[in-house]
Amino acid sequence: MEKLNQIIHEPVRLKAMSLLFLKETMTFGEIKNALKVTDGNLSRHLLKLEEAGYITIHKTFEGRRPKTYYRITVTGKKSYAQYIKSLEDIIKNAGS
Amino acid sequence: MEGQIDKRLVEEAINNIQIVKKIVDEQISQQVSTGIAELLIWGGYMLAAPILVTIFKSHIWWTYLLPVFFAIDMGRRRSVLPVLIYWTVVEVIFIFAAHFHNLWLFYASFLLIPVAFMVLKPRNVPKKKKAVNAAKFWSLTLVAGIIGMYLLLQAKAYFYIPLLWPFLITFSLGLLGSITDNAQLFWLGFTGTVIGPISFKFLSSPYKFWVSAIYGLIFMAFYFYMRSSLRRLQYGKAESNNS
Repeated sequence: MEKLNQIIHEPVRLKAMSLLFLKETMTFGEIKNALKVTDGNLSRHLLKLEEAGYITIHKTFEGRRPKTYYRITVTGKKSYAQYIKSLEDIIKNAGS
Repeated sequence: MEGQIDKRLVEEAINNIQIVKKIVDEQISQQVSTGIAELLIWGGYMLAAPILVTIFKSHIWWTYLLPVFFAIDMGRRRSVLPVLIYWTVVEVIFIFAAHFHNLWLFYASFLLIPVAFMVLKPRNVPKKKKAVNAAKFWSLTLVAGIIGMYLLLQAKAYFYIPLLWPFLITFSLGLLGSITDNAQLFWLGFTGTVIGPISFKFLSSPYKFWVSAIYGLIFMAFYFYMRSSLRRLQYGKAESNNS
C-alpha cells in the first residue's frame, strides 16, 4: 500500500490545499469563510503547511487593516497532485 | 492486522477524495455561477437579437430583448422583486420611446443600466472592495458605450451600433483579464477584438448587424470552454499541468 503524505492528509489542511491549488492565492479570511473553521485552528494548520514549504505567507496592509495572503508553492502543487494520485491508486488497488 | 490497516487506509482515501471533490465542485459552481455565466447570458442576447431582427424584419428587437436579458442576469444575483420591478419600468420606457421614435429618450434610458448596477445591490454579498470595483468598471464601460453610441448617432453611422457594444464589452473583458492576470479572459477579449471588426468588414451591407451573432457564438464557445477547463482542474487530471 502507498504511504500517504501526512501533512496534506489531515482534512483541514487537505481542504486548504485544495482551495489554494484551485485559486493559487487567497486571503486568510477567504480560506476561513470557505472552510468554516476557527481562526486559531486554521492558523495552526496553515503554519504547518508553510513549514512544509507548500505555501508562502505574505502580510500586507490594505488601508489600515492588516491582510494576510497565502499562496501555494510549486512544491505544494507537486505534493498535492502526488497525494491525490496516491489516493486514487489506493482506491484503484482496493477495487482490483 | 495488515488487512485492517489497509481497509482503514482505503476508507480514509475514499473519504479524502470526497472532501476534495466537494471543495472542487463548490468552487466550480461558484465560479461558473458568478463570472462566466455572464458569457452565456450575453452571448445568448447577441445571438438571439439578430435572429429575431431578421425574422421580424425590425431592429426594434434589439431593444425589446435587452431588458429581458438584464433581468435574467441581475435576477441571478440580486433580490428578484426589485429587479423585476426595475426592468419592467425600463422595458416600458424602451418600448414607449422606440414606438414613438423618440431616440433621445430611448438612448437616455440606457443610462438606467449603470444606475441599476449601483441601486440594485447584490444579495448575500458582503460589501467587498472587489464587487464594488467590478460594478464601477462595468458602469464605466457602459458609459463609454453610451458616449460611443451618441457619437455614432451624430455621425449617422447607425450600422456601427451592433459592432460597438460587443466590441466594447470584449475589449473590456480583455482589459480585465490582463489586469487580473486571467489569461482565459484576456484571450476572449483579444479574440473578440480581432475577429469582430474583421467579420464586420466582410459581412455584406444589409447583414452587418450579424456581427453581434458572431460575438454571441464567441461568448458562448468561451463559456463552454471555461466551464470544461474548470472541470478539468479536478484533482489528478491537473497534475500534468503543474509538473
